[in-house]
Amino acid sequence: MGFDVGFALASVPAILGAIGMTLLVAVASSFGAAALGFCLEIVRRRGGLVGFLVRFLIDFIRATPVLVWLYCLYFILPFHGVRLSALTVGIAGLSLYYSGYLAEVFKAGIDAIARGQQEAARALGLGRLDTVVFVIAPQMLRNIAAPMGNYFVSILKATPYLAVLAVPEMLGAAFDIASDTYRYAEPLTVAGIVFLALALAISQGVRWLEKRLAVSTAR
Amino acid sequence: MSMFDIWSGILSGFRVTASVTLYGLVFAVPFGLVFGIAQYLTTGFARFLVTSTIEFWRSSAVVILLFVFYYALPVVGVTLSAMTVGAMVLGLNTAGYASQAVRAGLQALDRGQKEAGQALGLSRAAILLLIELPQALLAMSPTFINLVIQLVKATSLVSLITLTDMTFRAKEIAQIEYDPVPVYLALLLSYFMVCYPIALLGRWAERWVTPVREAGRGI
Amino acid sequence: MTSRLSPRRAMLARGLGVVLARGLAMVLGVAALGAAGQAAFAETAKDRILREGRIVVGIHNRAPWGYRDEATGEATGWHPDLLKAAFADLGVKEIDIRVTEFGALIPGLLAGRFDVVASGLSITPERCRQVAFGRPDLKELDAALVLPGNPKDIHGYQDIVDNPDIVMGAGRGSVVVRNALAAGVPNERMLLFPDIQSNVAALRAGRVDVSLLSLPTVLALLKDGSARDVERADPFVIADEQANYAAVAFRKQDEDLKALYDEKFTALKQDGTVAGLMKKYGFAEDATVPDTVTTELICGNGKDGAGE
Repeated sequence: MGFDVGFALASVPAILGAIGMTLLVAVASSFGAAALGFCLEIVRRRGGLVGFLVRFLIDFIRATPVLVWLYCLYFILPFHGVRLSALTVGIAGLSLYYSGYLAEVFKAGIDAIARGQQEAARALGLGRLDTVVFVIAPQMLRNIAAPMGNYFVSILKATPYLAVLAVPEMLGAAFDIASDTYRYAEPLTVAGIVFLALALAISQGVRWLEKRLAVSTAR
Repeated sequence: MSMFDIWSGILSGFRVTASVTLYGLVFAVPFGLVFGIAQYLTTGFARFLVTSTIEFWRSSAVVILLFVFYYALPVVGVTLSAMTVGAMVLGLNTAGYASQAVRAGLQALDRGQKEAGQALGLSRAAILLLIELPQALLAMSPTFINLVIQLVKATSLVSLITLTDMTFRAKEIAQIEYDPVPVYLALLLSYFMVCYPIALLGRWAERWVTPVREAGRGI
Repeated sequence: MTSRLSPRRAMLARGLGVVLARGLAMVLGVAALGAAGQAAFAETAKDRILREGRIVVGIHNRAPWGYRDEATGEATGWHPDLLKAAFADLGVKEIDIRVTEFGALIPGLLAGRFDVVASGLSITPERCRQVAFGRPDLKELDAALVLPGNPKDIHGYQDIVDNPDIVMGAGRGSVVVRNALAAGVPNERMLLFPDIQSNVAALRAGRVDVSLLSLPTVLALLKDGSARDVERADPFVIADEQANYAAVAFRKQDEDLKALYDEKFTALKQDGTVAGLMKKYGFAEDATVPDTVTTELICGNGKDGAGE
């Protein structure tokens, strides 16, 4: 049957139309993962039983596939009467999963800041919150910008998994075309190319930001 | 269905999970090395070509690539078995990441290493093989172990191209089982039991190579 | 060399050797295939199937259509059983199954991933343009699953059309989508799922208000208990001309294989084997396909959609 270039081109608009959903999922999940990851790391640092459990959760997440977590949330939650839309489940799943990775990033970032900084800030009379906001956080952000950016790109690359939950992102749009026409080759190839372009553009952006941060705070 | 039936059902997919992982490594190890070394040694247009190849495998969404290679390649006359598609796509994706670790490891080495080799009259190839690579690979071993975990987890995606791995078996069981909770929890635990020991190995390696670890910054 | 190793190590070494050898073959094979192209396609599918005694069938793992029997691991279901019966006396003993999503059945067939689709695929004019259907073997009507008590009072497609609050779930690429669209259900109130499990899970979660499926699927779901907490919308009124007819699907170029199957199927229908299988799977008498209904008729214009 061959590869129909005309048909492939015809499927471009529909797939591009779903780029917004892909970006929405990626951005929302990135924020969710960063916020949750930071909380997990703070709790883990406090130690005790809760800290131990959080530590186990992080290890557990990192040793299991994201696809299985999505299936878990998607199939198990309604079984217990929790009714969420597939989009919410997808964003929650990606946020939860990547929070395990971002917690590690925050850990490295916080560890890297010398203890003396904290003590110096306290000696200057800064409060606990001020110390975190004005001393720790800015330095930490600089340290973790690169790995964090990499995980945001990873999250972007995980968004097509949501197609298995019927979220209409780009791969889902490609499948919709495919199921209407019974031709998988063209729409899927188009989705692959569009996705690659998007991922490359965003990782270039992340790299550019990284460089700027490195320059503005040259050591 | 008893818990035992669920477990044995899921584990009957372990063979496929293991096969895809092992065959994936057959693609990942040599190509990771070759790509990484090539990117380290080449300049100009050759380097652009190498980098483009790496970026293609690294930045594409694997799940889309799996679908494209499984459904679109036969259309242009190249029919690879599902196992080959899974091993190749996941393996080369891993190779893309591994190549960055190889290159970063090589670049992080002290210039003196190379110069010492030259002073001894060693050829460029001998310097690379005998002096640079062993140090770089050792320093990067925690990263490589991490990538193996990523590969194992990514094998869950082959369930989408008809391979009966652990994830696929779990979905099958969940179809005939009223309660999805034990099925998916057992599946998560199955992956955890495979991946966590590897993660522990990685942590051990990390402590072991800590003196040279600074070399690994920046990837 | 290996003689000096302990037996365990030797085994490990051999295992590793096998993986490496096969893996290398894969790597080389991938490289070679690019060059070899289609040289291996000289033998027709029919000849190969008869020679090997093995047919590769695509299913979407759903009772009663085509599924893996958990106890034996063997292919079973309405269409696999029909194929088994049709090809048994030709020496085709092995039914090799490839389980895939419903929407991927036809693309998988076209991509050469399997020889036939034996999984309750209905004949439609659109599908006829892609694949060649065998004789229709079962008449089926659409049916609906709803939450207990049918809170939205759904008894037909018109009820879905009339109530803008209703979101309908259906299988991606399934034939109910066609009937729903024809009835006037707007696209934006339809969620399409890769498999029935996620469709039913969405219903249970309230993500959709009604799941549209074929009646045999609904009955099988309710029977095996995997769809508790939901019930069949009864009655779900559907016009007779909206009935679908299921058949085994072949690639267009495998006309010889299809002809052979059609011939065998006609014989099976006459000797009562088909009726026996219908009883086995609990299909009612009225699911029998009338002789006036042919594949060509459903495909439209009697042309089998060829040349389009």
